Amino acid sequence: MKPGPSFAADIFALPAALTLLMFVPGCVIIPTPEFDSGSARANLNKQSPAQLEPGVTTMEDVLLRFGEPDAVSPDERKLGYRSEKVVGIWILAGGYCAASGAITRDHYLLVELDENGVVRNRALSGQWLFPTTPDTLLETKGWLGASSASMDETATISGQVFWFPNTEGFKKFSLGPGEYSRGYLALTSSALQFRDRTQLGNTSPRWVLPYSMLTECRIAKFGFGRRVVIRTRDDQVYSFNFVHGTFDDKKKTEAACEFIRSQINSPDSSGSSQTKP
Amino acid sequence: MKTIWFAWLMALVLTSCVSAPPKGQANLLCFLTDGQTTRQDVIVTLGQPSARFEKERILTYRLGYDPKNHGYYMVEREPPTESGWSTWWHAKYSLVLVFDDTGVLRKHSLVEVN
Repeated sequence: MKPGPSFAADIFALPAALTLLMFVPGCVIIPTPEFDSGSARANLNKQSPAQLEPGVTTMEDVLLRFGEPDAVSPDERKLGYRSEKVVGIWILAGGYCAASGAITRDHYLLVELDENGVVRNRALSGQWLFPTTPDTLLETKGWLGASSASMDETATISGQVFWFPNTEGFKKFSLGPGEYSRGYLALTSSALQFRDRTQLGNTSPRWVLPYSMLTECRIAKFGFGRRVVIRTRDDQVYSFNFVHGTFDDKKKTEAACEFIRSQINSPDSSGSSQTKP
Repeated sequence: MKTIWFAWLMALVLTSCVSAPPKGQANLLCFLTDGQTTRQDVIVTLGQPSARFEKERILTYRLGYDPKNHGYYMVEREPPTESGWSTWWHAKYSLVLVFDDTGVLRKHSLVEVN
């Protein structure tokens, strides 16, 4: 299995990107000695894979040596570690304006484990400029990047959302930290499952709301904004809206509301429990 | 009048010299003893872990480090960047705790991550 683009591809990717930048008027690229960016772990190097012996090293050994992984698959059979090195600086200037940034190179250590938690394979890969996502590295089909691992992969609708517990639509304009969160919502056959994006892939969703617990689902509108508002039997209210990148995904938000309504009205909708943080 | 101005000036100078108190606790991890400390002890002392593995047989915590007092302090998992990766801006160490079947600490390791 090959996690993300290969080194060979990277060798061509960087010069291509740098060449493009050089043709932009007023763009300067200054190569620097490699150093850790500070935002990612710094305890990975070329020797790291050799420290893990397939058939011998266990998950416990991997964690004791490298620490908490940066990504985990839902079944804990894949662990991902990432480091980020700065290799240069770009400066773009024109007129009275200027901008600059770092040119980075990521390294990923992917550790695959067998059903007994013993290392089956491990590989180090690299990526210039644009990081490989956790999903791509662990091949989790778009579930882990938004941190949703143990959620039902057969969910009808799923994606990144802004989640507003105890908020009815747009009634609160000033929301403080903790009053909303960004994460991943899956509408499964029996429940809404919300996973906070800070959660690792092998943990349970932070909120599970079975459709059988819901009494109401409607769309709240404010200008171009749309939010789904749901109310539970114990009169708790939640709102959410799907996002695509930094933009609201109005179509998906409205489709989600339709789907939840159909599930509330369905005689088959049943759930086991409601969990809260 | 001059006295008041002088007092204000001194207050300004002095407050600008005040440094934040150290965040860490040098003895935060001293209670960890392989073969003795229980999972319950760990959670009571350090709080909820940042990650759990193998049905809570392995717990991990993120720790910051304050060189002023050589102390450690707890750091939560940081929200991921747009690419989906959680960052390690505030944590310097990853504490890994391995428990046996009865919930007693069997092994632990403080890994310097950043």
